[in-house]
Amino acid sequence: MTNKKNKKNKNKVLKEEKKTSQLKEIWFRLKKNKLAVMGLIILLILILIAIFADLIVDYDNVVVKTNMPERLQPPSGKHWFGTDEFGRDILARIIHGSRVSLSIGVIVVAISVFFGCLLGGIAGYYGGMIDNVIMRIADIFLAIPAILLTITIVAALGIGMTNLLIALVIANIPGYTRLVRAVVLSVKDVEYVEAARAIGLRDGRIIFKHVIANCMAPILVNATMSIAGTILSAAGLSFIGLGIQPPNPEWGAMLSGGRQFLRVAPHMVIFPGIFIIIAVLMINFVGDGLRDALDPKLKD
Amino acid sequence: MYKYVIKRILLMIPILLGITLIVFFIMSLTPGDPGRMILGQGATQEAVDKLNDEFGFYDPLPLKFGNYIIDILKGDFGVSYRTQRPVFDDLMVRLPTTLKLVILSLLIGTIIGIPIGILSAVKQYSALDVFSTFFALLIASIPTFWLGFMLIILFSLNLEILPSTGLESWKGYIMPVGIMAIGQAASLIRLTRSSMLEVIRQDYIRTARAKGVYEKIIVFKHSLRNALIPIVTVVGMSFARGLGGTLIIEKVFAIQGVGTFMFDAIGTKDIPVVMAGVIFLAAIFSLCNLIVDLLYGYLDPRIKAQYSK
Amino acid sequence: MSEKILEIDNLTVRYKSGNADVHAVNGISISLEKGKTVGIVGETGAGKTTTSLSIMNLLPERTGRIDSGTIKFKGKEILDMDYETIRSIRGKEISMIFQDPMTSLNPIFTVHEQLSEAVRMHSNLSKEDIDTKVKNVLNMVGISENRMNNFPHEFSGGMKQRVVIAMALINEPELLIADEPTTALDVTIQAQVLDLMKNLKRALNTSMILITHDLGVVSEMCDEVAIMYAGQIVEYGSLRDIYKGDKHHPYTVGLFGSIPNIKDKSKRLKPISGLLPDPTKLPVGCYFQDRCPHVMDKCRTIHPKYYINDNHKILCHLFEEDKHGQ
Repeated sequence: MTNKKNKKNKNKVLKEEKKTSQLKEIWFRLKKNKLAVMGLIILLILILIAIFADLIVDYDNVVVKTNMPERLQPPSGKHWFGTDEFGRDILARIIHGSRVSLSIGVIVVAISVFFGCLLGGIAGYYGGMIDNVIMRIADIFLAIPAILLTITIVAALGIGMTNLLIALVIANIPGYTRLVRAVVLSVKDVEYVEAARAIGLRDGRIIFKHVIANCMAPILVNATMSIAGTILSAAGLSFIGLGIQPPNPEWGAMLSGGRQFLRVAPHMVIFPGIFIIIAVLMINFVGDGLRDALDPKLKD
Repeated sequence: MYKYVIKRILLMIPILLGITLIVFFIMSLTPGDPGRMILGQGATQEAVDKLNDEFGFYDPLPLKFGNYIIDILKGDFGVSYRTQRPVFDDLMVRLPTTLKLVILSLLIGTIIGIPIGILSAVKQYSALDVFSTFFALLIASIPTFWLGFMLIILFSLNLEILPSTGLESWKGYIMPVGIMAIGQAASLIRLTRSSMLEVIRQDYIRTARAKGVYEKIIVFKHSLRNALIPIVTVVGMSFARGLGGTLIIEKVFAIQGVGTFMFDAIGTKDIPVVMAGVIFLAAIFSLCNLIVDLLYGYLDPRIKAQYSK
Repeated sequence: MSEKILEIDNLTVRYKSGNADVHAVNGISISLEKGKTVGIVGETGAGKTTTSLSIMNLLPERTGRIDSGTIKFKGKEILDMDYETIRSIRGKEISMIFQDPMTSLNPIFTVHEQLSEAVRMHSNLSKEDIDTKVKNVLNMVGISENRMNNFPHEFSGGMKQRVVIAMALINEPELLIADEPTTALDVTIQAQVLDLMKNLKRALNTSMILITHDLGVVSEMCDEVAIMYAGQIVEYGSLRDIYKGDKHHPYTVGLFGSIPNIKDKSKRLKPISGLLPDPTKLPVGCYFQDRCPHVMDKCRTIHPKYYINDNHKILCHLFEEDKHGQ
């Protein structure tokens, strides 16, 4: 008995060692990708700015309070990125806007991945009737272009931040469901899952612990990329007036607001746009780097 | 093969029904009623109720859905709450504009994107490859409407050579189509490159080389035809992205297409218009997927073989 | 002395893998006379496939590199040839049968298209003549000609391998490189394919390099045998030298497991305990030192030289006192 236990522990240790060395290997490969490292560093800076936005600029007095005498000023020493139509400092608004823009991406993707894993895991693992029902519904959702689906949901629920989040999540779930189901199907009959079932692990634990743990890689790459995609969609929806409402300083909403002043104050759209591009591009760099690091055979 | 085509077309019916059901269900969550929407705040409750009755607003949801489907089959998508005009007629006026934008930009994007993607894969790690992959990623990270603004600032406001709104002359097409085409090209470069790289690594490419097949034939016949199979799917998906993207581009350049039609309707809670727009575009997208699937079978003999069973 | 068709001299090939260099082939020399067959035997990773790809100049472009050595085909240096010259030799004068029939055929072209292409690349024959050639070669490998318009996925593994062989033979090459042509096949089909290759060799007087794991195949098909280990030929000799000789490299002895017996055709290689040395950091001295039962002190410090007795060469310190080599 003790012998058996020892062996089991030994196996566990071996397995964990293997796992950490694998992570190390991935990290090592990611580190060699200069663009991905640059992406990570710049993203870290953006995230720090978002977290400490309140310490950098005062929200009530600078970000939302109007200051008509200084309206529509071009970039200067005092206002690096100029001011908007209410005399508010664009840089200050971008700094605070990073909170909204970045967190929309992360929150939406996190929630969609969770539900995608749940539904895809159930469909892939149990198969049969449940699988059929879930996947047919997912198919229909996938038959509607994502942006149309989002627009429909926002149109029905009403305009606002929460409804925008709900709409983006619902539009994202079917894609993850399909992805997770495919991976689950491909690893479901692999020996270690059979073994887990043979020693009587309960179904839920089998799905989550073994299967999902082993399909983290494709989901991770996909999720990273779709954070970028979500930030872009959210900005687009804010632009057409279906997302964040003024005076909230979201990047897409700022762009939308600057539209009437293209001729007199182009800086109003140039700077928020540049920040969207930087954030999205850096996330894409990291996503690309992750994909290459997780799938080294693609590098040759 | 014919059997499959028919089967695949018949499969469209439940999908279209499903799309309609989902859109119908989502839109029925909208607060408010058509009577109040049309008659305005000043109208009496009696008049509003009467109109709602006419619309069948108080019917149970399944009955409402059934009636809606029957109407659609007759080509009747209801009347706009705002203008009282039949939605279908207005949609038909605007649809060609939207489709023109999407198809034109997808065509240009494909012509640019696929050859660059091939070259990029064949000359992997060359300057061209490094530049084009970076460029593609950069383009994919720029919001289309922002790019629109930048071009308007440059070409309309400063250089004054292109109109900033409308499609009255061919000049009007340059910016909206150009922006969408460059986006399509960027995603096609990435996808063509990766699927070509995947194919080039295959054993059968080595076999072809060992046979003494010319390098050019290896690239354009052996590799490309295999790589085209996933690329066809991608072009199909790009069409969907194009449908989404055009909605925003229409708004940037104030083009009277389906997009602006729908956004205006969302603002005024003009539900029949929103619903018709979404269902129409989704149906076009499904049709496009069908064509992709059929092409797929044409290109890949393994799938063709499954068809005939 | 008959004509030499292929002379490989001191060939060294490296692969780049990340920051490390993989020493895949480390100075091998083989010479092959017209009409003869040499067998290359060794474990997976010993450098057999790399050697054969080098002969066709088909190493992966970015990662593979021939460091030194010469490969002469009919007296002409292959490594100096321009693209058009080497292309016109590939598939015409030298052709290759690849290991895995499942992945060696292009899935979207019919068998006829793939076979006729091999002819078209090297001649201006008319469509009818090409058709005849395709039908003939298919008959030769035992595939009915009315299946020539089928796609690869419609064939079984054994039939695909016949198609691969047909593709290699259609231009009646002077040198055929067969990289484990039977490994992926069932035992019964293996025998058929071997018989087929033997008959073809006789009919066309083709020279052949046969890469295999299977000692039975070697004894049946080969005139000479090269035993490869860690990118080197550790023993080279005629079939008789290898199966009947009294001096052998310890690795060869290990491979055969016991006293080799030329009549025992079913015998396969026996696994030897231990692994090939890491090809990115090969040890000083003999590469076989860690697995050798006769390891001596000098094996750990000095790289052995060939013991040469006529055509029989052994790369081992054990026989050095007998006779010194190159």
